[in-house]
Amino acid sequence: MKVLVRILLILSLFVGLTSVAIATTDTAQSTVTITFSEISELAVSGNPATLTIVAPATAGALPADQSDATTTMAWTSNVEAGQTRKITGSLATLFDGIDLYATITATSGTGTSAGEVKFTIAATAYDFVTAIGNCNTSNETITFRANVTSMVAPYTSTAKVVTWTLTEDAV
Amino acid sequence: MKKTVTYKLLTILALLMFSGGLCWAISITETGNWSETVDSSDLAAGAGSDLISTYESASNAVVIDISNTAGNWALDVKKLDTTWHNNLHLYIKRTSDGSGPGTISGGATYQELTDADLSFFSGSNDRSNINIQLKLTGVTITVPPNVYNTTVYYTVYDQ
Repeated sequence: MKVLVRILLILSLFVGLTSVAIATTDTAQSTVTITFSEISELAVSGNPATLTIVAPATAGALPADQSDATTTMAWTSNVEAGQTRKITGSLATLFDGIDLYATITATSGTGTSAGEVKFTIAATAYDFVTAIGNCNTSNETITFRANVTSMVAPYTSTAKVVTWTLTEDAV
Repeated sequence: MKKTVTYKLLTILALLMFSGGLCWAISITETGNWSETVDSSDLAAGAGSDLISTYESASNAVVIDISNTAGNWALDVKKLDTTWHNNLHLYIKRTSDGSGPGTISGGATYQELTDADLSFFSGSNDRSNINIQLKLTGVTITVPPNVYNTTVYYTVYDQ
């Protein structure tokens, strides 16, 4: 028994000394979670000016094209790796005797402009800018061009609605 | 009689052994985490603009208690990423002294967290309710949508 007591005494001294000699440490932890949601925001600056078709300078010719480039488009987009977005446009109803075209510029790194695109069929989405990744841009010019294809009775058109959409592109 | 005394002695010695370890083991407890969601409402000026670049947690997003101290101590901090993006930078600062019999100093200005321990703040004796605030910078639209996670480690040690 005396031996056991001596062993315990030595051990207790050892443990005690160890506690004093070695600085103790302790660790706690917290987590930080940042969720980046997908963002797909598109805006236009307003409505273009009215396109007025005027009589041709030369008898027998069709009226000249009319265009407007006073409006701009802005978009902010981020997508998961391997995916892109695109901007489509559709014209609700076509004009009589007039083909409507549009062009949207795209600053480098913010997508690829498709150039001038014709609204061939009413209420059909056409691609105007593709390959949009994680980017933001503003003041991209929208140019509308009205091309007279045939002479029709003079009319004042009611406004036609063009719908622009920033949407997922096919992978 | 002799046996009883021996057992008592053994009990005292055993208590001495364990108490030697328990009394001196400094302890830290932490409460709270920080979650932030970045979405279209964080655009600086709507469509066409970039995201606001800097976000801060509540000033008491994390609360730390330090106890079982044996005098002076110091606290190091680091982060270990689970999913992170190189654009993102995380900072930390202490926003309150807490309370208790001891003292506390340092850590009142933001320091960037890395995967290596950095000295955060130090003090003496027990302190509780020490408030911690976090800040995130480098947020841009070029950071792909994802859930980014990192763990902040607080290590307290005797000095």
